[in-house]
Amino acid sequence: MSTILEVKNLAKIYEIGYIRKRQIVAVDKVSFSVKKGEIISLVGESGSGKTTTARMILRLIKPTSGVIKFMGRDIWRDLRGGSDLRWYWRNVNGVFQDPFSSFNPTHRIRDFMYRAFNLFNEKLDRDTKERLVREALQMVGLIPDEVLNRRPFELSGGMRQRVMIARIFLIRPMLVIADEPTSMIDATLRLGILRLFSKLREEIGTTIMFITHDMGLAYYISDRIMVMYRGKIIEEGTPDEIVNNPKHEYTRNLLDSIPKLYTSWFK
Amino acid sequence: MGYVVETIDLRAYYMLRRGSVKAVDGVNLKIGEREIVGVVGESGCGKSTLSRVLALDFIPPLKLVGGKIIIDGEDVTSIPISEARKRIAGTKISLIPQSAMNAIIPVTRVKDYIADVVKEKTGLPREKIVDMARKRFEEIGLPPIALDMYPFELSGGMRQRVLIALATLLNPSLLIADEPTSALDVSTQKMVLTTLYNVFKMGLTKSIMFITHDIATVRQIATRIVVMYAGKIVEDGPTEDLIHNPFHPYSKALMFSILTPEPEVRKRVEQTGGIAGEPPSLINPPPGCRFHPRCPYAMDVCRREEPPMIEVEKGRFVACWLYAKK
Amino acid sequence: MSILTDLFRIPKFVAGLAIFLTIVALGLVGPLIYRVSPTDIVGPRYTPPSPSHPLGIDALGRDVLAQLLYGIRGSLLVGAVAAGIALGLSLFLGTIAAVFGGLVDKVIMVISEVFIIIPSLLLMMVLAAYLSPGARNIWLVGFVIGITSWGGWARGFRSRTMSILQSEFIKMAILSGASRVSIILRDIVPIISPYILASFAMLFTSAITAEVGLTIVGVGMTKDITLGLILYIAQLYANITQGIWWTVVPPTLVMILIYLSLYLVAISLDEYFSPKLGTA
Repeated sequence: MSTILEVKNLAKIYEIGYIRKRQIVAVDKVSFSVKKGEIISLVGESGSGKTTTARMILRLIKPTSGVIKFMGRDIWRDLRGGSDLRWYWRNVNGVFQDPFSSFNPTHRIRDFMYRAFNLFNEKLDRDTKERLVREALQMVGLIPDEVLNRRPFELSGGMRQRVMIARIFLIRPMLVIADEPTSMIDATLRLGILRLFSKLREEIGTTIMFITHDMGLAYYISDRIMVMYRGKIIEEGTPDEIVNNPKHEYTRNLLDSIPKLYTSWFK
Repeated sequence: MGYVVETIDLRAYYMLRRGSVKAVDGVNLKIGEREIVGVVGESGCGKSTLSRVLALDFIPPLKLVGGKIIIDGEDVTSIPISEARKRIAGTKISLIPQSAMNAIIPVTRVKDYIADVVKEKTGLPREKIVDMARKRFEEIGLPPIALDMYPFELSGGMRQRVLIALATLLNPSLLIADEPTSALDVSTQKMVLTTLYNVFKMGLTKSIMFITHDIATVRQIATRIVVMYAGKIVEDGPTEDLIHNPFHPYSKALMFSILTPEPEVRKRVEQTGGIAGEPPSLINPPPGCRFHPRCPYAMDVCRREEPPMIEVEKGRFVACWLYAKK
Repeated sequence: MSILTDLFRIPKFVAGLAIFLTIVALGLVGPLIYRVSPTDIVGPRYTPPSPSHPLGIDALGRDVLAQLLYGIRGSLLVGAVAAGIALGLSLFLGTIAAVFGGLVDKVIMVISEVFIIIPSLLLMMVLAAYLSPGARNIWLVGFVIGITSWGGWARGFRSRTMSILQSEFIKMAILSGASRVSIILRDIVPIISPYILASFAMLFTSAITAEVGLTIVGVGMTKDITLGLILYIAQLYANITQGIWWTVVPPTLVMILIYLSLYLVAISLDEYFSPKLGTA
């Protein structure tokens, strides 16, 4: 398998305060690579720097230092101008955590979906666009006529998250960064959403990077897990390696603190 | 054995312009002494509303529509609400609402906040209340210095533990905790759960009602689990039995949707899928069993008639026609 | 359009809008029905109100009602011109500054500061000194008021835009390849549209008031009739001290009503669209 994303010594340092400058290291010289077609999870608690890392890969936050290379191109140095950026986002896109704030409340679902055509180089006529949007919505189990003309607040959180994934089915990127895509969704709907990501890989061959605090979720869905703590990746391995044989003390503590369904701490 | 709280056909609706949201709709729940009852369900199933109703926290549009609440043998729904609230607040039922600590004024020190809250309920002098709080903090392993701090100086886990100390200061009969751990990182969750369990072990509260969407969390400490769906209780039974062998199709679906890093769970997830559909609107709930549109076992009777709550095994109650027929 | 029906349930909004529309109708239709020229001398000066001249005659022998109707028209036009210019500039520059940031933002903010500091009175005095009195018409006065009142609003639009830019849906739009212009037009403007409406109402009222202020002190309107010009003439001939109330009270009353009605509209818009505390 070939490497499609390579991250080297990536760091993000925030400076706060005006008189007395204090530095906050959100991401501390992180290096890793992602192979084509794999599902990889970046697991960490709040403040671990996982979301900042994701945003830098999505080219939404500029890193303080380090290199992110996608298909051999340094995304912060080699991409210039609108068409390069559109090429990048056509190939690398994201799904966010909050299905409520990820939609402009004044737009209809159709507007939300159609906007992604900005990324397309090919000129499509109105009918083709409509057909592609409908196909994408059907892929995630939505009925196009029921959602296309709705506004986001008329849909449930689960449906909105499906729309967000339908957008990915429409764009068909090579790499998807999914930042806590199920954490605000009810338990009984969560598996359905996760299945959609598996489907994405099966049908389009998408490489998926999950950003999550939930080790349980990472355990099921990933080929490989990276554990992030205080801005650093402290451990990396297959799900079984991480869960059954954690090397780092933090990972061990984290696994101990996860409540299990079939055992109790107090009995 | 007496019940700490008993509800009979309790109904509480949110009266909105577009209709009434039947968030608690015919709930029969008995909580005995020395029980930790976990109430689980998804968002919008009425579990938080149930906690507010039991604490007699009726802020419009929430309204008690019918049924009885019996607290320590006394029917509190037969006397005026304000009178009833005075009688139960803090001493009989103590509620920790969801994200409670975010609601307090950041410029009040923890001890002043505690003194204000408890003084209003009991009229005790402030010094006495602060002394009580200091003692209680030591008992449950909180550093007494936290009393002199401001809420924003405390970590999320510490705040929840302070709230637990405050809620049990008057040794209530029932402590209701609404999602006390869901906003916290897993490592702090365990600490808060331990505090909650210790409060129970030490007898600082007779019983606990723990409300959450996360079965894996609540099963750690609950002695009994109650599953709610669309405003109703669908299953009620001892924790271990219910976890290992859920009866109601919804309880099964809920259990199967849990993802924890455990071998049993992984094996199961690979075999089963989630359930289709979403919880119904509580303004116009479906007739019959409210779960029938999503239920893989739905029969004709499920679409017509509401299933009765029956005792299938000793202590195990379920409201489902699959079991009622026997 | 449930927002409109909701708005029409607010008594303040309905009352304000009704008063304002009545005044607009007076300005537009009034002169067509009451066909007396506001500039003709129609009788002896200071004739009190009578059936033939319902609001009497002013210091120069002209019909006050005709003056008032044309004055309303003129004042509304000044308000519209000034508010249009100020809103256009502030919305354009405020959103551009927020979305583009960096040097663009800094330059725009410095310019806006300069215009916040320059009062319309000063600019008008300078212009009055150089222009012939006959050139000071509705368009010029409207322009001067507009150009001197956009600065503060630009900062308002900038800060609202900046807070919207933090939202996740803006990041989604960027990931969909949306350009900055598209983000301003399709994401930001629709969301701040209630604020835009409210600010237009406020700019409008303050422009009408500003025109009266400028004209009364003698640097404003000379050519077209406005409420300010009626009051200026009344003030010039010391009508108040002589007890000639009919040249002073009607324009003042109309002024107050315009102010009150638009104020009601603006605050009800603001109250309705500001984030409300409520149950989730």
